[in-house]
Amino acid sequence: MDFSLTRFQKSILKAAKEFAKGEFDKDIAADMDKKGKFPENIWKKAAGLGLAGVHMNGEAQGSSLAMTDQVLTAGALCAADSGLGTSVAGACRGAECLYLAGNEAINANFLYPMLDGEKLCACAFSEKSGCLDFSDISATAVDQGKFLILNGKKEYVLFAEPADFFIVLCRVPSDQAPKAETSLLIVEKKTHGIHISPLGEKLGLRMSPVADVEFSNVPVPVSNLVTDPGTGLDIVQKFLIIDQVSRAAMAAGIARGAMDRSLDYTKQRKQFNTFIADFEVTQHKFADMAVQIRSAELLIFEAAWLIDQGRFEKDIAAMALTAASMAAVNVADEAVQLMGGYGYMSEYEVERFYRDAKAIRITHPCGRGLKNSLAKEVIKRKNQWKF
Amino acid sequence: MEILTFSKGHLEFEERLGNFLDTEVIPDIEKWEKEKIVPKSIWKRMGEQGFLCPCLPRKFGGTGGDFLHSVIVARQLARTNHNGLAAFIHSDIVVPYIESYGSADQQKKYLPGCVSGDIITAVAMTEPDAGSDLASMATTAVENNKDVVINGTKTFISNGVNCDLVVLAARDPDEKDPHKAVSLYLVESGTPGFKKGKPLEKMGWKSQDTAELFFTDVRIPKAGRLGKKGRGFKMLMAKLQQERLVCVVSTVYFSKNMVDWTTNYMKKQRTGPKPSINSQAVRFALVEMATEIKIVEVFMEKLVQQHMAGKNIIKETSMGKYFATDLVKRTALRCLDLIGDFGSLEECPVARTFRDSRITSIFAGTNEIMKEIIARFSFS
Repeated sequence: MDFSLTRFQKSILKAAKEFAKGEFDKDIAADMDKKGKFPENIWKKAAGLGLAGVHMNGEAQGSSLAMTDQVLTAGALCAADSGLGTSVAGACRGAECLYLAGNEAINANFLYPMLDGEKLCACAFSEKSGCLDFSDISATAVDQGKFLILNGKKEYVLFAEPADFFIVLCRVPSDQAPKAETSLLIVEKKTHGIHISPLGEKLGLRMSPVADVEFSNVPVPVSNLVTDPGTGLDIVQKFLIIDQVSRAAMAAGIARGAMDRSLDYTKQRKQFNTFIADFEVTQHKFADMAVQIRSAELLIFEAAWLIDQGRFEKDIAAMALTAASMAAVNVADEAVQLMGGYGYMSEYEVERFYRDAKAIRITHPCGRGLKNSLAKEVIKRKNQWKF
Repeated sequence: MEILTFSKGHLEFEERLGNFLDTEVIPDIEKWEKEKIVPKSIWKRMGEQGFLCPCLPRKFGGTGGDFLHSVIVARQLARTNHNGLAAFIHSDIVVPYIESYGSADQQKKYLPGCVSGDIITAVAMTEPDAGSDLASMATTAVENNKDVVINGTKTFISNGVNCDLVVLAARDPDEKDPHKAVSLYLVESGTPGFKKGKPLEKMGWKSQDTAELFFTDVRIPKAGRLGKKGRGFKMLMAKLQQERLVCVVSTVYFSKNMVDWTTNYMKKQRTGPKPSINSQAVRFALVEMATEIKIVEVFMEKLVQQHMAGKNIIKETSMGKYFATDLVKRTALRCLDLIGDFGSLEECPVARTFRDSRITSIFAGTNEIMKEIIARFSFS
């Protein structure tokens, strides 16, 4: 069991940190957070350097990261800034679906431009917010020869407004499968019949805007079918596992960033002639933070490694996200407390880290739905711990 | 089970206040949250209706109510789910200094305006380098025969922009014992050399004009000192009991409101075909929160009762402040967990309560300071 980073991993970690140091700006972040704007230019630059949070197992062009590499860069970006980091590392999440589907024509038109920061996508899967089970979706694309006609409503679609195209999970009825099996369909934003309703200001992750999207008689070229009917759901399930691990990595990064800031602050802030970092209770708080972050990170590394082995294990991914999102909320909360009145002020950033951490914790896929599905996996295992 | 008994008069007061907030406050909150301040006119309206300083005796122009009126104001303001119109800071925290320690002239000059809403008050203790460690404050007040010259910076001052009158803590640079060095002064807005910063950008309390205050060679008449020279620290300590008690009262009601809202939301939401409230995990979470809040509410009512009887309950109030402010934070976190996606949108009222309540375990003495106080009272 080797826990050390490879030379390549060390170099990409360094690259991610340097990128954040050069491109992430405290004032820009505060402004984008306030306005709820997606930091498009920073994302483009990150994508150009292969830091846009997509793992391709070294196969596709534009990115050569394995999942174990990707969690490192996502974590580093989010430690540098919770809002910019999560939006830059999360904007391309849909690319993972296209990569899993492996449709060469689609990849050339949509995946590679996305990796180069030329096109942005939004995943329109869920029809009921908070629901992890996509087996009963009702959005339907009916084959009309050259075009499929898409109708349906999707809820809580991240990046819907800045996106250039949607990856839509829908049913495509056919003669062979009258039950209409699920498929993934690419719908370009410019197509008519798409109605986007932004959900307004967010509590956290404000740079990752969210909207409900309605498709009414939207014509989609048949060539935009990403997968054969019947395989859509399968790809989405795998995608969700990757997505959970990458969100876990972001959460752990947020925790690290919040801890770093509170460490810096308490080492230079004196009250009662003592640096706050020198109080016993403060030191214990840091010890507790470190334990939470480290345990979450180890779970994340294991979950990422499993994905790199081609093993999509629901439970480890869910555990990683649960542990990391909890760590992020706890650590950022304690960072706010340690920084006192300053911790509550936007200028000192940790309040934003706290809001962003909480938003990861409660938004899909997390919360009770995730716990229910994890519980099923754990109970099914009957004490047979696999490694 | 309630310990406090509200009379018909109290309940009528509450109903009038509730109606007033429904018609004149709640409709404007979104606007105020964007503007980072509430208009002075709403303070004036509160005053006209008798909702400011309800406990001030009639001889000072007040309505002579008891502290239960303050409890009612906190309960009703919690219902508005905002903190911009921080009436309790004025009524229950700042004005009592003038009531208790002001000279007859000072009382005559300021208290009627405090009741009518013409004078909005703030208390300035915290400094950029003196938060929990109040004794290390650096703002100086040099007294000579006829006036006082003040220099220094105060920060995180609630009502900092709207305030017309500041109760300011400053030290005598010649007095070496920090606990004997501090005196309180009444500084009017508009005094040359007294400048106010812009409302600070913060996680919550968006409509509250919390600001920095700057004092550069501010000259006030000697008659502007509040109470005896060098007694500032004692006066501050004496008034902190009520300040912290009001925090307990307010956070209990904010916590209750969040659980009520979340309970209703879970009744309407569906998990599959069933209402989410049917989920055992949801029910247990709601029940656990309601139980904790009920227990703290009973303790809070006991504290109010003792406080009204004039008892010294600094230790118990510190316990209440630490526990209730942690509770409101925990409740917000847990409610958001239950609400899920919708909780991540500002449209959800619990999102704002989550942001607003996070300051309560920091202001009026951090919970670390509360634990220090409780320990000091318990073990020495």
